[in-house]
Amino acid sequence: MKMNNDKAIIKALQSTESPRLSADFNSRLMAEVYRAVERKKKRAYVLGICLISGVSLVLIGLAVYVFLTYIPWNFTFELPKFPKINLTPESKWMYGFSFYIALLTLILIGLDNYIRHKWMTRKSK
Amino acid sequence: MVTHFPVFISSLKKCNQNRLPASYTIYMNNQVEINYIERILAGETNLYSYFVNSYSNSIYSLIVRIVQTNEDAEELTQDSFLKAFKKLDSFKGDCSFSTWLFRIAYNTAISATRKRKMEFPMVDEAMMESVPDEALETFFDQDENEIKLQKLEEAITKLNVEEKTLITLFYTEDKSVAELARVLDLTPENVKVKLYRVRKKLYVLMTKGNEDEQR
Repeated sequence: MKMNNDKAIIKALQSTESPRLSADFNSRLMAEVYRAVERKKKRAYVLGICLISGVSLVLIGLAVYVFLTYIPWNFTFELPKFPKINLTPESKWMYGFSFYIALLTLILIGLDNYIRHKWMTRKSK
Repeated sequence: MVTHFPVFISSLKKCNQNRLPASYTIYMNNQVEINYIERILAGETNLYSYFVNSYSNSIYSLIVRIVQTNEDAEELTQDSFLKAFKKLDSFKGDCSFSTWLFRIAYNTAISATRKRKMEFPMVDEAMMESVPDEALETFFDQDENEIKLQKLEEAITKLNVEEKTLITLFYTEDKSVAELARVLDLTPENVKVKLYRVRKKLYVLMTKGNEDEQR
């Protein structure tokens, strides 16, 4: 069976007037393709939002359930009691000196930072 | 580079037509198309125009033969390409892209014809069986007779959808039996039998036409 040699059938098929696609067919089709891509992106975005909202609602619901079930309503907070400090003239001097050192350190660090900043800006100019 | 690549491939095909085996050219073409598909799936949508430019006319001529109206055929061609684009991630690469696309186009056209209820003339089985193989070969091998060609064209329009698809893809698109089997969801043996029977049917339709004219 030599079907590929059926010249008459090939010629008849080729000679049948095959209408051409309209000139702008390919561009119209590509525009549709781009629209389909946009729709797909939009759908994915909406789906993502829905998913996040759903998960958030479930988590909030779970939190409310846990709060209502496992945490008692009559709970109270107790603030810790600060120790009482007895200030003697000697300890007053000690506290004053510590405060002075801390303040001095802070001032020196601030001064160092200011001088460095000035020096860097001058260097960059 | 993207815009010149198809031109390069077509020129490469022309250059290598006489030097390389056909299977190698088909393999190379498939690799190029698979690469394109991967890039389209990665977001380079504009590359789909390569497939649209390459196959839109072939797909359109097949659909026109099936549905027989130009406007519907154009719409169905667009539907086929859009369906192919949406299902692009399901293309496994186990056949050529054109075969896969023809299958989508065939199914789309078939769905459209089912809604319309098209009628095709029946041919007597006994008459078909009585046609000798030698007569077929000599009959279809000659293409000089214009009247015969005209009658053959008429006979082709009387074939059913599957038969039209078979001969269009086999004779004008040079699809192999295996590829036809994929497009029509048949076995290769079944395709061979159907092709053989289409030739007999065409012969009977033409000779029957002659007898009717003589009466």
